[in-house]
Amino acid sequence: MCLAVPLKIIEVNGNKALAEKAGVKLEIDVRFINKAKKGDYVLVHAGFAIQRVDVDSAREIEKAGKRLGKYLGK
Amino acid sequence: MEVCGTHTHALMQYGLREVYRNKMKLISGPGCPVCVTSQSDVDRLIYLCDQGVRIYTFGDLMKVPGSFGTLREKKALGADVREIYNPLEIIEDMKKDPAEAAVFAAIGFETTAPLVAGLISEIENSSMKNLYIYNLLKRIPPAIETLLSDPDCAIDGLLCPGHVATIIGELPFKRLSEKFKKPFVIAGFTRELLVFALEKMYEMLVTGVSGVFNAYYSTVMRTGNPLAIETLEELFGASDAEWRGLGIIPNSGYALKSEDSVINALQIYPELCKISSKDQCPCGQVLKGKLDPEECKFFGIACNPERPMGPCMVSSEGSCHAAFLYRKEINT
Repeated sequence: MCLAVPLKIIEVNGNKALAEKAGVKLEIDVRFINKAKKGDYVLVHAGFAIQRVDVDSAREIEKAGKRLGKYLGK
Repeated sequence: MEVCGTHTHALMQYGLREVYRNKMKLISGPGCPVCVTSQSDVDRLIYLCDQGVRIYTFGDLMKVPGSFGTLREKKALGADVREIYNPLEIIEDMKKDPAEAAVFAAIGFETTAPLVAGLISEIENSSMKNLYIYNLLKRIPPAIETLLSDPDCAIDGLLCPGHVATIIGELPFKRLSEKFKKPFVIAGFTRELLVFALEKMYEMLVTGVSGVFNAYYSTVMRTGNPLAIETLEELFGASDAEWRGLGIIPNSGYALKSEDSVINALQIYPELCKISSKDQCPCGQVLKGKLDPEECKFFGIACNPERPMGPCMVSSEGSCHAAFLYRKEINT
């Protein structure tokens, strides 16, 4: 339930932002990120960015998500 | 004990329970908001369906059995039940396809609570008058406090949920660690980060050190996410909440500060408070770590992911579901 995935912000428009991962784009809400900007990696939970992360952490979290998803068949 | 469904899965998937078998017994606590949703709450949502109210909810709650079926079954029979990913989708959906009345079953821990707060702000800023919140949000620290205060619960240390801590930071866990003089380790989700957290936990247990160690420091800040905390404090106060298997835990809920808020489903449908049901399966004992999933007499036969009896088997993050999924690894 508290699953979160790291995404890269490619466009910010007020509280809304467009983020992407592997070419898949998703509109997210960035109201809880102080001064979110293009190029930031954020941890996204249910469509909301909950924390800014650095690129290495983003890759690590992504790796864990992939392994778990593979096993769960998702 | 870990109190995060994703940790439960990862520990089983990576075989870490077995790796640490001779050092520590790793047990699963109440780590998933679906698992701790009481049967009364599911029955109340089903009652609303029967009244013709549209229900919005996160996916897993659809499968949790109430006394008379699940929301998914209600949907199959024609009830208006809709799954969402992002709470803000509800507003768009209500604009596209208006309903006479709709209720959002807001389940979640601290990680999800700010999102619900975001939705509430959007509802208040819009002209929408028929979308209500059935607030099932819960706080993890009071539940940990209840577990650690129970003399029957032999818990020596806590693996803290990484994404709850991302929002609330280290401080609430620090207070608990000081009160109970036990080690708390905030853990991430990769194999490496989990091993790091478990090694630290073992070291703290062996040396008798209490306190909080943040083993997910790349993401969890000491003060959490200040913007999210501020939003939560603006909208919510503490209230008692009912947890499946654990009963009523003081101050473990998020009450809307304006009690007469027009978006509070309990104000609109006061009869919901009269619906109360008793849980039929021993999920509560599993959630307290007193019963291993495999020790439950229903496990795997009467209760399995296809036909779950209780929420620990329904939710993909539930400890029974995880134990069922990884049972081969456990037995070898």
